[in-house]
Amino acid sequence: MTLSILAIIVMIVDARFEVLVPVRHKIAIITTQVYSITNIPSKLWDTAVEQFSSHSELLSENERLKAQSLLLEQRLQKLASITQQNARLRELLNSASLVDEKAVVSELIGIDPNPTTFRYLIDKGSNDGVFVGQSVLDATGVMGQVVDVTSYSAWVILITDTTHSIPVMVNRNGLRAIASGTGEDLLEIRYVPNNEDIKVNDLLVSSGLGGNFPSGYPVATVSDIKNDTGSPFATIYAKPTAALNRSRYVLLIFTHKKSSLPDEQTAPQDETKTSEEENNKEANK
Amino acid sequence: MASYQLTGGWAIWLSLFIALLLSIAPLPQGLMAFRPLWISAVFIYWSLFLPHRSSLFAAFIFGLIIDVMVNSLLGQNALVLVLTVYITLLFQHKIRPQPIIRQTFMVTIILTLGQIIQIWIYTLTGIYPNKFSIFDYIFPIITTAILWPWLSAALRSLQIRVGIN
Repeated sequence: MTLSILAIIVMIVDARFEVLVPVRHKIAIITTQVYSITNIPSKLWDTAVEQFSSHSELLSENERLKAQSLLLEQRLQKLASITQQNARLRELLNSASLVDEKAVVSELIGIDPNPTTFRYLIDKGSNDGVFVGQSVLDATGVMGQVVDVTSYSAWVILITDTTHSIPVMVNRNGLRAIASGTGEDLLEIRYVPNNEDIKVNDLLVSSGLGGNFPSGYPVATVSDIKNDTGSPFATIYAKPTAALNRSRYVLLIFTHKKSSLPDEQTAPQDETKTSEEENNKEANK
Repeated sequence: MASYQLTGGWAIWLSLFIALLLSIAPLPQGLMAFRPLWISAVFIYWSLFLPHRSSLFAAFIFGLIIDVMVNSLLGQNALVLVLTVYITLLFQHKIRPQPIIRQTFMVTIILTLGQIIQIWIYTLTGIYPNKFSIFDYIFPIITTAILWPWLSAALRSLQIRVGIN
């Protein structure tokens, strides 16, 4: 009985205050290890595949990767000149130039067992400079953002989670919209009027509005549009370009704004502390 | 705790640890909703058949660990597990001698109570307002109920072989 009351008290405290965050992080150091244990079978499978795949298979894979890298390098050459050109044009327009973001590779070690949420556990934490709100990408697009950081791990919420939305724009014409998760492998594009210029197969890229996600990364391609004359907005669905269910390695993006991590990290904490103090003062009054 | 020698505590902890691993092991998205309530089931078994070894405090600590692992509200699974063990201990004399079908039925009722508490907490905190499917909470109960006869047989053979008393 006392224990259940204690549990209820702990829940209320955890829901309303930040006091229990260090406790959670202490326990998380152990539980991350447990997640690593559940990850062993798939890792073993990977190494087994590597060990037993034949010489010719490896050779062909090597060849394919070489060809791919050649293609990408060719595109990169073009990209370099285009980036330069873009910077020059932006200078002419007196607008801030785009800066390359730094990225850190991280491995996925766990999946939230709750079927109603889409959250992943990754093996980088605050010790590696990960912060809440950081964007997470894979090779083909935006995956989501960090929602909870412990010392050696972090939880990533995917863009398909029902509680997640991301500001996007249509790559073709810059039309802005908001892409919300649906709880399936689809995004719903909200607040696009019926008569706007948006088509199936349009690429949606992150618009950078809101400041959370860096702009210009692919998010989804429009897969379905329904124009309902009864409602002011069209019903639009889009398929995420990132391999949300398959990617094992993800990229954590450090934007230039938040590259001075230690300072940035302490600043919000101080803010919350001061606001808490203010609250306490108000309560005391 | 009783005065005579208690043995095989490590096996109980091992079974709970395996249940923990099973409850977070990655599954395909479609099968996630059918994941049995491994930890509740194992706790119910030990509370039923070795009531003097089962402890509400252990359930509480284990619940907190699960809360951190699945990133839920701290204390949510602790409350569910504590109440599950408490109710099982309360009714163990009635449940234990029943034939397996009836026993499964009673275990299902306890599991359902636990899931109802989970739903209450989720609704009170409003974590899943958009898409709330009741089946996400019913399917685990059904799969656990189907697995219960085999699970209890497996744990009983473990209990006899290791000699837990």
